[in-house]
Amino acid sequence: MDPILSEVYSTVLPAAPFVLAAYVGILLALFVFVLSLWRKSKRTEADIEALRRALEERERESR
Amino acid sequence: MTLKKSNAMVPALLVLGALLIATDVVWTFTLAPLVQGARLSESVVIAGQMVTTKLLLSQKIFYLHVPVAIASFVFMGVAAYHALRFLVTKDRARDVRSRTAMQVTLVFIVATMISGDLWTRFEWGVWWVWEPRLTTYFILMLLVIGYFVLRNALDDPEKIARFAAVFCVVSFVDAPISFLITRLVPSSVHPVVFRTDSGLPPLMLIPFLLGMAGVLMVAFALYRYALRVNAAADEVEELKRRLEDFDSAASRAAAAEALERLRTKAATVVADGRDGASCAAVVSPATNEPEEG
Repeated sequence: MDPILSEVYSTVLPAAPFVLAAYVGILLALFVFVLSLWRKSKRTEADIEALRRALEERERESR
Repeated sequence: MTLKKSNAMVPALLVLGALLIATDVVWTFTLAPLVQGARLSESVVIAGQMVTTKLLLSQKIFYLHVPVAIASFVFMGVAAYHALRFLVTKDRARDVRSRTAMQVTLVFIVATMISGDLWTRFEWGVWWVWEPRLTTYFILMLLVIGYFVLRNALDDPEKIARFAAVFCVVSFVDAPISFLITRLVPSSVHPVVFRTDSGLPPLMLIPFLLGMAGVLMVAFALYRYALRVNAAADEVEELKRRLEDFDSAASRAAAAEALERLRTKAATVVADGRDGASCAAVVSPATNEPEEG
């Protein structure tokens, strides 16, 4: 490769992993947040269902 | 806009935001030109253009790093607004909104820190520098983490909401300081991004603006989704409380019933005891000392 050209692009290739990691890092942070929300949502849905059933049962027993 | 309409918009906003971010990324790595770095020992012509400096790829981090950082400031503002409204109205829904906006803020702060640190590591060869923008932003991150530590440190829901709202409003003071620090304390490290004379060519400005719009849309969609999940989590707590109230009322009723039974039994035993004693009093003289006459 032409020495001037290699000087022009001397920082491009070494920077590539850092640039890639930065983009992946941002998307990963968002993905982890969405995943944690989704898991919490599933858990709370199941909890709400179970608690409502338990509450209805108690109310029926008390009558 | 009603809450229902706003919720219906969430998937559309998420998809549109993701599409805009994808366009930003593709544009950034294909059409946006590389910025110029250090001067070359001699100039060279590439694709008909005179190049006199090294070309920098690392700057491409900023096409997503800056929008993500701006989103963190915006949602910190949203959190402070709802915290302030909570302090005025005492409406618990405002507390949930403020808490949710703080969660979104924390996620975007972490994303900003990750991308910013990777740029710092490559360009400066270090992971961290105590530079004004970095320092004030780091303080902002600590304040947001402190907000959640405070929420978990207290037990009384009323106290949690009130103290957290005050803490959120006070913490927000750091957001405009961090945003404006490049103007207040000029540093060669962080450029002033929002200005009318930035001189960014359209090929660089357009993907940046697309990324900005996309990230804000995704942030809003995440905020609405998190709000729904947090509201459901609060409903679980409310149902648990009602169930506990129900159980304790039933236990109290059962205990009162048992006490009543015991009292009745005790009264019967006492009455029987008295009858037995009077009978004994009548019988004992007859058996021991028979009457004469």
